[in-house]
Amino acid sequence: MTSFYWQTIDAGAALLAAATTLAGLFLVYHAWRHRSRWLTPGWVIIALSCWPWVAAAGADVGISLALVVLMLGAIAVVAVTGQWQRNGNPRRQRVPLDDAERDPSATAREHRHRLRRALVRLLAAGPLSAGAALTLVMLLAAYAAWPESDRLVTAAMLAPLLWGLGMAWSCADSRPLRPVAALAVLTFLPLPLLPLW
Amino acid sequence: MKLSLKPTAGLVRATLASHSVLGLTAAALMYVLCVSGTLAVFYKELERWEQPTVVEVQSVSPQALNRAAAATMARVEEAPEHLFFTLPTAELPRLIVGADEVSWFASADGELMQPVAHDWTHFLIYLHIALNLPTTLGLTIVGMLGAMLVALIVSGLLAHPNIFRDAFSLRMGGSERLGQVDLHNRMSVWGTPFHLAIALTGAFIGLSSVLVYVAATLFYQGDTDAAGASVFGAEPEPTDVAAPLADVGAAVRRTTADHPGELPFYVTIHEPATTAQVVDVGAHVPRRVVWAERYRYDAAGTPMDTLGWADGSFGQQLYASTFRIHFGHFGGLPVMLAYVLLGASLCVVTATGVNIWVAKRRQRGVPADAVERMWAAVVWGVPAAIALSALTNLAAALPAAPVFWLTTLTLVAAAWRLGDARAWSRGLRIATAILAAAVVLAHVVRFGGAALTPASLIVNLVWLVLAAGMTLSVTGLPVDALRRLQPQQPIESRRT
Repeated sequence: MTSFYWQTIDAGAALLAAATTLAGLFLVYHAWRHRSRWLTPGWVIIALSCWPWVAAAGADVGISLALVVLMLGAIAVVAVTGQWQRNGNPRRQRVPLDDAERDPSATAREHRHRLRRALVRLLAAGPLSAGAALTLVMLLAAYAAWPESDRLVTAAMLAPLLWGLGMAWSCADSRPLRPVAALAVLTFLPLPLLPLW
Repeated sequence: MKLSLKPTAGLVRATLASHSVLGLTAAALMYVLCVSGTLAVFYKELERWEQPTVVEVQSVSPQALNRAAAATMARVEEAPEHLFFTLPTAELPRLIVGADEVSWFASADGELMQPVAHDWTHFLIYLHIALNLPTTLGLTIVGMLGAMLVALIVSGLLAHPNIFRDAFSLRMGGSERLGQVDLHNRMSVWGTPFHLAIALTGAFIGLSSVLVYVAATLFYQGDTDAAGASVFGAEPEPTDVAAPLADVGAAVRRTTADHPGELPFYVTIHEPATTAQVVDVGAHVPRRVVWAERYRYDAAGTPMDTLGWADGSFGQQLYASTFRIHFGHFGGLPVMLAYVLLGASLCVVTATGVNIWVAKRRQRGVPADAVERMWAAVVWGVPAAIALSALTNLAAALPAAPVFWLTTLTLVAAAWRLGDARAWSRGLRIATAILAAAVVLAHVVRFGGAALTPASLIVNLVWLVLAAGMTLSVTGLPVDALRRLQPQQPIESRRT
């Protein structure tokens, strides 16, 4: 018995689509390797290959397959064209120490400072980012003028995305109190708008 | 004023620092999820591999379904809330009938046979979706890790200003750190669509119980069933008034007749043998990634409504599409194999991420030897512990979750103080190779010829490929082969 999904895919169109995607990838690689002007045509061909993919397997399966072939094709190109030959004895490049690593008295100071910053970042990346994401998506679920299932599912799908963005920002900002303040505002300020009380 | 989309050096530095902090915080658990998820792609084959002697059926008649339903009701002591049927398909050519928590295989005639008992596959799936913790807690932690993966993807892309300049460069012949950086960056950049899809759908699945609870508290007076009804469909109100058992065969026959081209693959009877009972039939929809379309029938098999997972609202279709996207079950074996390769690439990204941090520390003259040893124990110990759990479960019926976690934690604790990272890496790869080969041997000894049935063969081949891969990685043969493919002079790097 052949897989149900395999039976419903048009094999000829799928082969054409895969060849088109890989041809586009080859042009992108060529542009990278030889600094040629094939970069944009390569990406255009990759985008156009979605059309035979959709014809072969439908819109959602087809585009998923296009991405899978593109990703695997690119990783294969990287592996095959990678530089595997030993390049003599690699020079061990010494990275300079920062102040905390160089000076023992600075180390203790720096460690305390880093610990404080880490705790603030943890607060921002964990509970505050989660809280802000939750408050925002619940506002969407409460007020968007969409059908109920659209509001709930879109909110649920956006929650991890917003939480992830909040985490990334919390850990990247050179002033850790800035995301703390902003995320706290986003978490607590809109709460009265939710039908909680 | 010059407008540039290129991130500033300060932003790159900050996002790189953020990327390191997030990655180091979650690396070990994320790696466990990556490895278990990569293997769990084959969960249907693993279920067949665990019980290879079960008689497989290609199709089942409506009469046989009704017989199986009646036999199940006769076998259970308490009236169940649900009867479940898994109908035979190419991926799982077995008829399974269940009542709430217990289930049995059934013959093509609807006669009940041995109980379903794929404890090891169950362990592997729960390792992936809940880290073997109590379900709601575990799902939530895994959902959080999914959100962290989103953060890692975003910060990783922002921290990579030369994304095109380095698009295909892989310099494995130079310094160890440069090789690890290239491997990490190339795999992660080209795998971004897969990583993002896995992270978002995984976080969505993991956090959904918390989100439904919050939505229910805010908008539905705490009624979680009502909160999910517009997406999952409503459960019927129990009546506890006895009635003849629903004609499940008629419902399946009607689905096949009314929806040609679709393939029914599961059935649920809610509140069976009561006046409240309804029958849900789930069918594969061609050329769609939705889990199924779900058709509801009354006890006589008369259509009541369609849930709309395939053609309903955007939200319903989005929800129904998350599972096949996450598990790679939308294109048969080729897509599953592609998912295994992409899953393995995510394992490599996770492993090299910590390796880069360790190499950087060493270059700075402040080596983190204990972390390096412990990380080697995680990276190579997790596959070894998974193989050991399979072996001990197969050979001695030991519960897999304690074996896996005790082995992993013992290895990490031992690596904290003992040996060096290279020895741990080498030793655990050899151990994984031996254990994976031993799993196949134990399977053949226990099941004889049934170990060579198609599904068992696929899984046994995966174990053997794992054993061979580990052995080859110790010998360095794959890298030597790639070196032989290339000219003697190294390809000039674009980065000078």
